[in-house]
Amino acid sequence: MGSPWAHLHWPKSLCSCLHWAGRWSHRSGCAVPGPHQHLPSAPASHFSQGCGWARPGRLSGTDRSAFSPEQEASHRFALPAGGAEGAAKQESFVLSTAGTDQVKGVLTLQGDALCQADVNLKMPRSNQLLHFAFREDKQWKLQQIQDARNHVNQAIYLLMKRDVNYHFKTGSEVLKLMDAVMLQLSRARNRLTTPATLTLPEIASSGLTRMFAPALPPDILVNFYINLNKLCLTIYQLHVLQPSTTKNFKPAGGSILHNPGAMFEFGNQRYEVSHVHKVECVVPWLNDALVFFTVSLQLCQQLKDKISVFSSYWNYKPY
Amino acid sequence: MNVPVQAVAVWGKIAPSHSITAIMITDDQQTIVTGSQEGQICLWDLSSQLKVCISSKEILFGHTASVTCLAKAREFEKQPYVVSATENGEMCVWNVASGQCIENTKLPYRHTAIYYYHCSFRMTGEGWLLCCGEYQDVLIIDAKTLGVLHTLSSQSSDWINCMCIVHSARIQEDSLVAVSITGVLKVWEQDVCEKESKSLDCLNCQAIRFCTYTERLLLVVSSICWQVYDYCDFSLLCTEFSKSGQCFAGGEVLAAYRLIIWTEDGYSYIYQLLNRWAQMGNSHKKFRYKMNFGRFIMENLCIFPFVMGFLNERKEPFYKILFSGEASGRITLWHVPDVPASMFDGSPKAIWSLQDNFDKNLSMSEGIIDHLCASKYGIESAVVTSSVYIPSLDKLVCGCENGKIFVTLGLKTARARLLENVSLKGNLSHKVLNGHSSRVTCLLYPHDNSVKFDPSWLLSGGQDSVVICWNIFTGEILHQFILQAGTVIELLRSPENFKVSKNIIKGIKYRYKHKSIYINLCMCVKYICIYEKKTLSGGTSVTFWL
Repeated sequence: MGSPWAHLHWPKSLCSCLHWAGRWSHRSGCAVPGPHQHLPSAPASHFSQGCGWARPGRLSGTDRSAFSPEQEASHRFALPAGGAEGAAKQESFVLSTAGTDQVKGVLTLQGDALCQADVNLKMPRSNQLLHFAFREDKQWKLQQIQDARNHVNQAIYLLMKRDVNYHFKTGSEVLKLMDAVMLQLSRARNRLTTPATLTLPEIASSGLTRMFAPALPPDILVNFYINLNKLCLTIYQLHVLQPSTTKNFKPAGGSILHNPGAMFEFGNQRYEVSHVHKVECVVPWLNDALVFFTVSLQLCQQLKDKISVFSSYWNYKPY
Repeated sequence: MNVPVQAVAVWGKIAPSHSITAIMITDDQQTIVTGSQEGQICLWDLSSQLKVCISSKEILFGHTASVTCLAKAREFEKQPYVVSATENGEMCVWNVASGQCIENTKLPYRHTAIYYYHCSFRMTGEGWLLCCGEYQDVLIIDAKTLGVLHTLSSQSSDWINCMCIVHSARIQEDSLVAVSITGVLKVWEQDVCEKESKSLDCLNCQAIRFCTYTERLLLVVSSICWQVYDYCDFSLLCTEFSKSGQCFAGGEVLAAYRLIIWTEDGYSYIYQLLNRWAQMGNSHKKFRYKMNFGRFIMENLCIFPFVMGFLNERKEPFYKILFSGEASGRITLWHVPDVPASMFDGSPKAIWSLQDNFDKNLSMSEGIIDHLCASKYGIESAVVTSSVYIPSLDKLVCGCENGKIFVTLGLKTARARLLENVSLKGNLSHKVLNGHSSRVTCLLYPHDNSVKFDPSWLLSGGQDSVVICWNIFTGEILHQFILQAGTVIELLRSPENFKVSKNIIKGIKYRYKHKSIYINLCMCVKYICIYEKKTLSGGTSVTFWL
């Protein structure tokens, strides 16, 4: 008996989503492996006919019927250039809070790294203006974007490594593939939605403090992170706790954003956070990326659900 | 003082599933260690007789997520330790001789490869674990304490896909060669700063190997091609692409100019590089011809991904062994011939799986509920799909594939079955609860966790989208909730002090016998929660959240 899964076309929308994934990955600064870069913008598919679900349809490799065999061969053997970091464009974002200009930052994002950061901080009491900027040669890599990009690339690789004419032999093979792709996509999304929780000593000892010229004053801590679709800048103003102080010293744990009053010990000195400034700005392409993740996860889940229905109907055993 | 509790596992006829995700052979070549998607590590005995034979020895439980990689954790002669790492950052060091876990930790790093490195004049401790994975650059972890020592950093830091330790007599210093996910080759030497890096035109690098025979060649295998570089100046010497539809998964250097490359679908190819160098140092001469001979095939080619490895045997008869583990739990071994043999057909030498071990065992004691589940025709016992053990009542509740639920005494039945005390067998009380029409997917005894709930309640959910509340003592159905919303995935008890929100979208109110039972159906979460609230009138209401 032939496998009932031998015939099932990929839905048109999943192909478009992969197209988006390719564009987003490229934008964040890395050439994506594989021939997906030449995905047709409107891939043909038999899905819309609806017959794919009424009876077992054909599940071939990603539907790239627009390719000719020669094009396909050249895609497989052309080695894409790695490290297209320079090709990503630079975008500047102004981070500030409406109504007050106590903190204002202009950050330039190139792919997954901040190549320039210009921060103005107005000290609350003295009204003195502090200004610090990245050193000319330094870049700060936002690991969240890099990790999310790598996960998306892995998801694309999983889908793309199959030949055009590949026939899936069992339903559970498709389910395992969808599980693996969904795992990568949800990890990519989590990297953007969940910034790292850092303790204040970790923020103080991070390489970020050495990025600035003129050097950061010792009573200021700076942290950058991505939260959902926003690029955030947090500045902590510290004051030294004298050994003779009557306050009860309790070191604060890890957190995304620390509150005033948090204490920590670093370099034989005890500090307390006196002021916290946080400014953020929406990054439009991060917004697109999050939407893309949600849509692709939904599509993968729909494909899984439909196959499960057929599986239980056909009682197909995986081994 | 804590007395260690001895745990005994009794297995049925079917071996536990072991989808192999990582495989290695220990240095002493006596044991194969495999890690699986279920989180278990299995140890297999590799007999050293002429006929290679494998047999599973032990299964180590402990990890809660899929195992990503395995590596040795010490110099094997003195301490047979192996380290395993999982998807959620757990790392464990196991003693493969005794099966004990020596050390464990949980770090926020997901490793894809670990290599053990020890250099007695450079370090005082037990050695280092060089790890790479889904984080920037390479981490150095102490092999004894599993704490992070430092990071090997680089200019353009990114995830590292594969790496290898270059250790040769000709090159005085040991170095670490790694390829990042973007295809940049990086080399680190004694200090933690990167010595050099070069962008290779290869993405998705799967493996990198240094040829210890020539001490000059570097093999880099990526999914669409493999390449050989000259280690001295990293110039490309030779490239070979994979066939359309095939992806290379790894490779190894067999001999001075001979390579073995394996693919993701279980094929392996041996390549011979001809046109040897006439003079050393002449790096412009490229290899002009590669001859492909020898092809290994799997029996019953499976479509699931493989993990493969290669080993040179150190004792007679000095076989070169290619081994692979696959998602169905099967290990296959091949002997790689030294010279091209026309008679060699590429078929494996030995194939083994856990189920083979299970089938070998002839004596079996009956399962706890086998006698209850046996069908009328005595052919097969029903498959248990969910179970819960209630310690306070010593009751074992099993839900089956056919919708039946068996309630039986737990420890007493186990004792009767294992000790084969015939007199006890017939006298054990049990109940069969019939109410579901298809697979029972989850069971919950809420009184275990919270004394607020009635101790006679037992809840079951099934594939037929029905939640039934039973009286566990009498076996009667207290209430049935027909949800028509798909398979019930999980039954959860709601947290303490949970309050009902007044803004509920849909609600259906039932009155049943003397109790008013409210069922509020909110189509927001996939789980059903049972929640008890004391109403003003003093009665109780039960709310289910769908």
